[in-house]
Amino acid sequence: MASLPQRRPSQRRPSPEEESRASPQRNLDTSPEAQSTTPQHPQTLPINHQTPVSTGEERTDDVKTPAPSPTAPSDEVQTCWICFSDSTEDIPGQTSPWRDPCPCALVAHEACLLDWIADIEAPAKNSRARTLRAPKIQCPQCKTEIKLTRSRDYLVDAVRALERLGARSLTPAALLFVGGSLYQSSLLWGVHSIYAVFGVEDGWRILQPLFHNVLRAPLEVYAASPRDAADKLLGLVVDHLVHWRLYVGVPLITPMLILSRTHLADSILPVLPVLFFATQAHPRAEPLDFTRWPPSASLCFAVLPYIRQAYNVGYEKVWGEHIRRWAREVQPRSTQTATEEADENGVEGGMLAEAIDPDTDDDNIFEVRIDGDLWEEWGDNEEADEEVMEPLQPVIQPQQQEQAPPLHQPPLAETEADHAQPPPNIPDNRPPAAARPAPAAAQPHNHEHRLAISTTALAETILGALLFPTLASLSGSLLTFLLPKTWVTSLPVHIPSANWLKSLKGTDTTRVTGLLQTKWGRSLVGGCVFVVVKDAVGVYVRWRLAGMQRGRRVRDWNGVGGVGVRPSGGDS
Amino acid sequence: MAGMSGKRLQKELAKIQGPLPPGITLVSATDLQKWEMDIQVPDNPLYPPTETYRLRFNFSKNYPIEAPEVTFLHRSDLTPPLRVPMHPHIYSNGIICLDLLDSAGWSPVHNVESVCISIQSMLASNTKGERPPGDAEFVRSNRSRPRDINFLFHDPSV
Repeated sequence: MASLPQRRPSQRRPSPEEESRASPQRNLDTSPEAQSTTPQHPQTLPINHQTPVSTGEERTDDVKTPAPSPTAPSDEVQTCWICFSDSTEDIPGQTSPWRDPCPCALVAHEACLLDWIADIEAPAKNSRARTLRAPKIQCPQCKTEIKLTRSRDYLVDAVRALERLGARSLTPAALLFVGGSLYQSSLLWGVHSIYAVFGVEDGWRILQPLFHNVLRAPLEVYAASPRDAADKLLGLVVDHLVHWRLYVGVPLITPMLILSRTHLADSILPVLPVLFFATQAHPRAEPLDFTRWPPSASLCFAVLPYIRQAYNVGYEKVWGEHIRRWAREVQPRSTQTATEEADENGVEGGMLAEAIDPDTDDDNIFEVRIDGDLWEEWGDNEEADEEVMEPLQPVIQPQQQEQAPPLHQPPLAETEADHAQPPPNIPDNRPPAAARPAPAAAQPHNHEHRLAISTTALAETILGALLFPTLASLSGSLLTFLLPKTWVTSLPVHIPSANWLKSLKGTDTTRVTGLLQTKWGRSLVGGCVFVVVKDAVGVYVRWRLAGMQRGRRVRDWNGVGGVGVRPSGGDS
Repeated sequence: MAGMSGKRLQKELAKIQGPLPPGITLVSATDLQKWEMDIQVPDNPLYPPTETYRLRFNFSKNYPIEAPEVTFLHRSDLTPPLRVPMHPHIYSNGIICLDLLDSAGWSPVHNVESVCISIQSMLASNTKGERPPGDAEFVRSNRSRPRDINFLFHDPSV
């Protein structure tokens, strides 16, 4: 409709409640087959949205009964845009009155309009389409809001608004609940770890401020006496602020444990303990003394991530290549060629061989796209031996699997739009066909790898990480049995000595004088020893496996029956 | 007003017997609730101008308040066989992903003819002769009617 239709004032009798109508009645020309005037057309009753109704306490949405339709001739035929019926087909008394609620040329029966509006406000199809406010009803053509008059019940409105608010806050509440549960369980496991590493007395000393708040009554119980509630709230806030290191740090232990088994947080991990412990005021107001032996606990744990990374790098340097070689030897030769070619291309990286990763057929895979360098799987000293062929390796899926449908979107995956990117990048580096799954080249900036993680490997990693403090503590306890008594128990006797070795045993009269004499020191050392021993055993096992692989032969059938092998000159 | 759909469909049928835009023809409307329309796409190299695609319109009792269900028909037993056009928003089982056909984008101001025109123009302006991503999986696993599927409309360019 290019232009607004003409408005022609015409006679009409005023309807009872519309005393002062300034604007003229509008006669609209809607249908292309506009006919000439025919008498006895029912009157159109415009709802004039421009004229404010200024009666009493009512606003524009006041109560109004359907107006009667006094007859007066109107010149044009109107077509309801909803039911397509003409005004020619109107049966006076049965057909509901015409309405023209917006400036454009669309008119409709009132009943049709109400039907349509009812569908918009409460769509039958999906109950999820609920917003905070009722959806606006707009004319489909001119987008003007269509105003209704209906009775206002404030209670109904309030309840519906509350309902909508409730529906909207469902997701945040659920997230809060899940987050809270995770926090509490991390806190609990952190407490467990601290006890495991530090022992009973030190652990209690550290965790004591937490004790009151673990079992406190929730605030709503105090609702009867508001002053108590306020007091408790204040106390809670202050407590949290003062002991923030505990409230933030102890739950952080759990994810840190898990993350330290991967390389995801390598940049953050060393920083965190420093943040927490080094800023702690020492009870004896001593400065952070690097030259004192034994070092303080906070210093030790702050240094631990660096030790870990140094160890990882060293391990990779010394054993990495060997382990890869041995692993290759354990595999069928067909996949070995792929890896050898990739090796020739100077590709560095983790486990290359699994051309067809058996786990990709596993239903438990979810595919995770992680930006970052995740190559040095082998250097991770804390992985279990069985995870040699671990699917945590980067595996680039063949092109066909790029069509992975959106239905498979894992929670962690990024948008599908990116999926097309990595495979085109990869084949640039390698002559073999792109269809053959091949590792990505270790381009320094090609950070888009796809990981295929199977849930079993994930569970193993997580559980192993969580159990690590306990294992460390147990190894520490083992040390108390294995090492000479003088090393591990605190001596009340003063033994002057300048020997650094003896400083382990203790040199002065303070109670705790050697690293190994504290429970946490033993746990720390025990944990490190555990890791080193585990890795050493792992290296040995892989070496032996590779060696034994070469010596395998298939045995001929020696019993009754059988065809027997024709001599063919092969070795036996 | 359950009878509204019948009355309106009759009116639309009457109108559609008259002149229609080029490329759109009525095939059958013997069942008032199920219509079939043929469309041809002019001027697009992806779709040969002689090839006709058949749309099936399924109307419910709440039409026109409720949108019709529009799908492309796929019949290989006919000569010439009916095919589903290649379009990034049309799945190979004939289901069309168009905001106009969803309850959010539909309004009674549209009618069969305007829907055909919209689909025709959607095809005419298309430049990618491919199926939507995840087409095979969708066709294999979908059991719901188009009206029950919650489409995510995110591509304004096609």
